[in-house]
Amino acid sequence: MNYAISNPNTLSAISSTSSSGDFAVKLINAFIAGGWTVAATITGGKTLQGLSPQGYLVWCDVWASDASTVSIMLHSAVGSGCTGYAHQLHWDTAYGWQVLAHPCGFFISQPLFGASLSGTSCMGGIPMVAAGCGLAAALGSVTECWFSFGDYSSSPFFYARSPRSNIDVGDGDSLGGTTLIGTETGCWDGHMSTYTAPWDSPQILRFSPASVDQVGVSLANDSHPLFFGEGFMDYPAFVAWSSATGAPIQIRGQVYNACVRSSTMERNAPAVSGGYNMISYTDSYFWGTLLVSMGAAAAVGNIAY
Amino acid sequence: MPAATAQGPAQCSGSAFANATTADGSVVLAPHFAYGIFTTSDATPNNAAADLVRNTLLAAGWTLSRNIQAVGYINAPFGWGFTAVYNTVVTIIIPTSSGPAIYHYVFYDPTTQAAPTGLDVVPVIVGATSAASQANLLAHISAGFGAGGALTAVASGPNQITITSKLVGTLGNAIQLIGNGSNSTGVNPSDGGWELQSRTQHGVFGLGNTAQILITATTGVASNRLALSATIGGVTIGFNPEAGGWSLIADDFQCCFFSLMPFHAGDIYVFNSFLWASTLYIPPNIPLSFAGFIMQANSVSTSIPSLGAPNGNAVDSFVGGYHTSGSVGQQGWSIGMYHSESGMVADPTGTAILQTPHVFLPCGYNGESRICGQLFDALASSGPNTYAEQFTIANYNYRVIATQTDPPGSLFLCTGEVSNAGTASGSNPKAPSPTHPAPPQSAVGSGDVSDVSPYTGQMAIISSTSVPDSTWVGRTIIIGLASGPTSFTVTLVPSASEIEFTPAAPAGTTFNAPFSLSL
Repeated sequence: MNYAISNPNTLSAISSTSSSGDFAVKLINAFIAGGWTVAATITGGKTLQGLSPQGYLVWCDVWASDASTVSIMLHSAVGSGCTGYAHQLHWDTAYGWQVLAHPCGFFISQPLFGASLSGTSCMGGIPMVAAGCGLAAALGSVTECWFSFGDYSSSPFFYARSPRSNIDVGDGDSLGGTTLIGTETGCWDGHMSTYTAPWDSPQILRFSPASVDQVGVSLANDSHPLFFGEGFMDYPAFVAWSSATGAPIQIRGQVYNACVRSSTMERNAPAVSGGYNMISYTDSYFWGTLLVSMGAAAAVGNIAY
Repeated sequence: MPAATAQGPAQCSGSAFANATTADGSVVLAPHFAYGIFTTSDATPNNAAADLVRNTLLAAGWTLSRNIQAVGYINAPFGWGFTAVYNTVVTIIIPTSSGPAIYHYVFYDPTTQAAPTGLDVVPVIVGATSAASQANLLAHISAGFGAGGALTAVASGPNQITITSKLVGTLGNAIQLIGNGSNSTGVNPSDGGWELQSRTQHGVFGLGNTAQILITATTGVASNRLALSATIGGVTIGFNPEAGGWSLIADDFQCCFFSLMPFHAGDIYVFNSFLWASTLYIPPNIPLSFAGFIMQANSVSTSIPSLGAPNGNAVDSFVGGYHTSGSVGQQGWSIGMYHSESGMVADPTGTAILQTPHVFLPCGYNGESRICGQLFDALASSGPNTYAEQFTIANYNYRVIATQTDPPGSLFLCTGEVSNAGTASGSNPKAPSPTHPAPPQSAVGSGDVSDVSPYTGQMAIISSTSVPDSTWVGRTIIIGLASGPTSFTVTLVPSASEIEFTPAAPAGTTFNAPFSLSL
């Protein structure tokens, strides 16, 4: 199984924004620097188009939705009418942002915050759709596939779980988040993911002991998925969700330019995996960390572009 | 930046990352497979079952480490008698290939009596005391001929002689000791059986797992059922299989006994329905040289072996010098796999995925378990398949030996049989089919399995163009090697898809693949 590495993954740092509109413009520029193209102009922003190495398309609206908020919403580029959740990023002139983008994906976060009620992170895009490699080949049999995770700023008490706090939607993050129905977006062949139960929602699969998590009882009863000697395991970042409540959690593809490391890492921690320079997108999740590629292609690995 | 262009499917070969778990799963193959079926009963002797265990494990590459001799007793609760005694004190019957050999040991007093004669009579001079009579009887029984050729006798008390069979294993269980009923009684030798040892991996895979398993199989006189025990690291777990039909799957490094009749709610003795002893394949990235476990089903009547769900198993684990007994859940034994808390993890079509079965074991690290290795000849499925159900994967049979629903998953163990999957309740013909393709390939690491056997002098089949059969025996094959012998005589290993070479290639020899054999 190869990894969906499609470097370059372009890093843009955003700071000193004067307004939510200014933040939206700089965010759009970060997407464009990563390889997205402008499909349309909308009120307060742009509709950007992502194109995957496999030829899949998605549109992403980025706009200043009010004086203190920039919204990001994926929607169908192939006419299915599917629309994702409008994730919200809270703007403040004091905030700094880091954006890693490639032509069909993005990872947005604030270096100083893991997750907060105000909306501080968002990631999404088109995954590498399974083309075999032990998974049933879906490439070509579906018209579109895209996903997004992000904060949910409407709740005064909870932030939405996303790979910034958990790689999946389980307990075990150190930040006290909750899974709020509707904040994870997944689209597969013209059908949106269902949100009737948290574990049916889009998630990045984790590797862990095949026993029920005890985190609800006591985190001390769980085990980190590490090798004896405390070595970690790196594995593909499979994004998955069910087609119906209680139905199988179907792997839809791999997150491009990312992998999962089975150890707990703080946000922004540097890492090297498979010869690539990576950064920890996840902040201190018990069962693992989403690592994101930090830039140019390295000499080894699977270059999709 | 290069323009984004649509490209073809991702490659399936190669891996950029160490320790990657493949979604399709990979199998670490042991050199030998063996599969046996036996029945144990509450009412009949279990010599056949013990012998089948021995034969199956030998076929799987184990060695016979010890004959467990049958032991019996001759008792004289009121003394052996003296002076005027003239009777048959004990009759010993020894099984031989030409029929039973009978020995009647008859006391007599030469001062007043003529030596007794007759068919099968062994005259024994009675002593002046009971102790003297016992000594004389011992001397005759222990003589190096007659019954003494098949057993030894020692005094284990003033009124008891302990008889130990010289016949190996279960053969000694057929010796009969018959007292006269008035002043002597006999307790027939029993519990003769076999002790077998699994192979060490030391020097073979990575650092090499030095853990080995000892399995004993005796007739179990106390329970009147087959008596099994499994030992790892000096810790022995006894096991009496519940009466009924059983299957035994074995390879060089593990063995799994499970009932062909899965138990159900309301049944008792579920604890005695499953025994699995295994030493793990330890990849080179794990700094460990001793890892294994002994597992039984838990004592909950409705439970069957699980992949780690609480209350699913009773496990003794051995990691380095760390032994843990009875831990459950994530901090006990469990299989590592892609995980979601509710539904089955599936591929894009909703089908369960097969994964490499990494094994978590408690190892003294802050109470948490760690991945200590992988199972040989096994796959983990994300689907909750039926216990004992069979599947054919890459033309080899796998049987479900553990399953659970929360989170869903099941564990497949390769039986070594080929393309003849049976049902959950039905077993398969033991013999492989006449022709079959190559065994499943390993993705663990080049040279580990299949393409080149890590074992000196052994090589797995790599091609479907030829299958080992009796015509291979005695042939000489010329093979180009970097060093060592260049010609070998082939010996067939009938129970495995494998041939052996004589002389053995030096340890560490790798064959300069590709090459072909023309026979």
